Amino acid sequence: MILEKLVIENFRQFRGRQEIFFSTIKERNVTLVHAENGFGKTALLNALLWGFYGHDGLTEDLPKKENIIHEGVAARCKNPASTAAKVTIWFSHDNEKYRLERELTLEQERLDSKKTDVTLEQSTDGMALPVQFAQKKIFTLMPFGISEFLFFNGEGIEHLAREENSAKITEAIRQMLGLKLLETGIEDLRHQSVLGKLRAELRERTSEEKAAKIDEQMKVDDEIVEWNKRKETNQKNIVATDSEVAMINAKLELNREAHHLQTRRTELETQQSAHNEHLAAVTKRLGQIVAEDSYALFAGDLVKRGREIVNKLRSEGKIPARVLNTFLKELLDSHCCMCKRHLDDGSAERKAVEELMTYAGDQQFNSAVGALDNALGRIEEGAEHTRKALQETNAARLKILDDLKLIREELADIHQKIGGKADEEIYKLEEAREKLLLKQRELVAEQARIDLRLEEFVKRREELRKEIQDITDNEADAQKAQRRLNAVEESARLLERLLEIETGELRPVLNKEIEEHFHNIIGIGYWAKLSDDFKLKIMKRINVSDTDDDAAPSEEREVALSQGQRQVTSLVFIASLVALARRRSEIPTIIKGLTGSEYPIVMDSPFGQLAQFRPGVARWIPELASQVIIFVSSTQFEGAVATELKKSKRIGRRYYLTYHGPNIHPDAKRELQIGKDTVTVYFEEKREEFTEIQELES
Amino acid sequence: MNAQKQHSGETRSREEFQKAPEEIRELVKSVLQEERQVMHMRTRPDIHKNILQNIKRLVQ
Repeated sequence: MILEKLVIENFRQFRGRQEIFFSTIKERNVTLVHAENGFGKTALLNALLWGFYGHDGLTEDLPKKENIIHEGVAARCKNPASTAAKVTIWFSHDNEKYRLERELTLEQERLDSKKTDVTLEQSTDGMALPVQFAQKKIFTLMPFGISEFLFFNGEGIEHLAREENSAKITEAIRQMLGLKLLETGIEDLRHQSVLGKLRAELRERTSEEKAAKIDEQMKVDDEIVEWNKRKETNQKNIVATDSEVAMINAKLELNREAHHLQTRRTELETQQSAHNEHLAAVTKRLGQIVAEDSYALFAGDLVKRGREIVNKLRSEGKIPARVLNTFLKELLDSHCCMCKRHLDDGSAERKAVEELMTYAGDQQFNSAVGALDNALGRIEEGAEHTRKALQETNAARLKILDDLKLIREELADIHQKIGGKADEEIYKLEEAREKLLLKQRELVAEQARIDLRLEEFVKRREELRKEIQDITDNEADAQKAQRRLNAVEESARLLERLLEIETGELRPVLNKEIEEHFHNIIGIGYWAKLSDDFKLKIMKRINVSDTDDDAAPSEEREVALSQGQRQVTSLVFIASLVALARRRSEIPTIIKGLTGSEYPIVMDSPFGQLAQFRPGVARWIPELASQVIIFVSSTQFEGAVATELKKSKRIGRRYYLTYHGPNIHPDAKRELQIGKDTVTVYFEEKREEFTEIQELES
Repeated sequence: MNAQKQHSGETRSREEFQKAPEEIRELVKSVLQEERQVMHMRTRPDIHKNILQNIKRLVQ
């Protein structure tokens, strides 16, 4: 989707008709809107969101959401049926042109401001044709779930980099990259109203034996649905508990007395989770070594005995054989020795050669002993290698266990120290935290139990499916019903495989994308990565030895991020996702809709707390997204951001908001110096406040 | 995702899809087309009915 034009009429503080043309040139894909604090940046962002999604799209920080129409216009209105707020958006998507219009009359606002009139027109060959079910089409073009990743307040997006929001991230990835379609396809095929109905049809037409199995399968399905619900509830509880713990941690960190201890605890807990991951990997590696190579260690006696046999044969001169029995047999058969003497039956010469046969070596025996000798050597080498690998891996495991023990001890000590503070508030927070941690452990254990039960039921369902399939029906109707059932089950499994392949291929690509952009914006030292379950983590490498040598052993550690760092991380994630969706739209897939697409990024005040990262964001985000629209105040823009955007020549269009009202925000300027122009942005107006959009010629 | 795949016009999922019998391919396509129409809606009326109709039409 590329935004082309926005027209706002009487929406919130925008009085009358105001318009913005967005830059659609790829090389100059930034549209800048300069606006001082309190002048209407958030209202402008909300105008776009309201246009696309109506009341549901409005951001949480927008006050009095039910008041959409400009207050002054509404107050002076004589005819509520003809006074309205309207947002019109022109945009293109997958080479199609659209015009979207949303309107709310004052009459309707007074009744229910959530009910708006929306129309969507699609231009085909110069003809504008209305699209039926406009809102449905909009949801298809730009799913509501991804809107918070495309239209956002830069200062409010840092939450995306918090671990408890990994579900949101997973959802956004799946929606933006088209994987959601596969997921819902699988769910719907297996739904009671599809698979269940087909089973019921088969049950009616088939034998008693098969019907009984179908009944059991239906019960198993019900169990799976039930346990999945429990799993979902449990997962939600885990996320809620995690966020409660995070909240208490934040409070303790803000408390002067507990600050240092809590900061250290956060650091230790990050280390603990990295160590636990590492421990799991090392334990897995140990298991692999034992399963694949440990036979060599137990083959010592066998090797010893083999060696004795080979040595004995060697000492007896049987290997390597001095003469081969096949050669002697050829001489005897031809009745002629290699020295040309005749080997007639009963002759002394023949007898001598026949005697040689008693200790002559067999060619196959010779080769077999050679191979055995070689294999014994390899087993010995393998045993040595395995012994070394086991020792090293086990040593690494023991080291991690030792480190974990130290971490646990220090954490327990911190708990005692914080809990022992005289401050009643700290004590209560610590006590609440401890209770939550206990709850967390119970929930995680419950999760494991649920997973186990689910695994059993899924296995039984598959067994029953095969058993049902194997019972042949006599009636044509029953056979047809079975074929349909088979086709549905096979289709669901195919979709599952496709989902697995797509997810597996996309994760490393997205990971690489995020890592690269994070490096570009943040610089050296840290890197970002998406875990297997799509948790966004920022890592650093720390030296774990006492020397400063570059080659000294080091370990990856997860970084506890500051708010500013989380904001940048979230921005990088969004931009990477948008960049990947854009590239993915170029890749052929089995059906339209599985592809990604071009999307704009609309950012309100994205440079707030970034400090040193501002130039990186200003430079790289426009490189990644097809279109970037930025609402920015003078304090955020002047300096690094202005320099970087000027240097990259990315700015295509520029606007500024003028504010007319009785009072001006204390941080806001009355005049702005934008490039060579000086523009007045504040006009004192006693009667009512309103904002206007002005284009800047640059 | 890589250049080679883009050149050949095939992705692993497309290859996997092509391996399936034609009847299953048609069915999967029809299901995805139905889903595409309603996937971002909060309520998805008739989706199951439509999928069932497609199954009955395609598997005789």
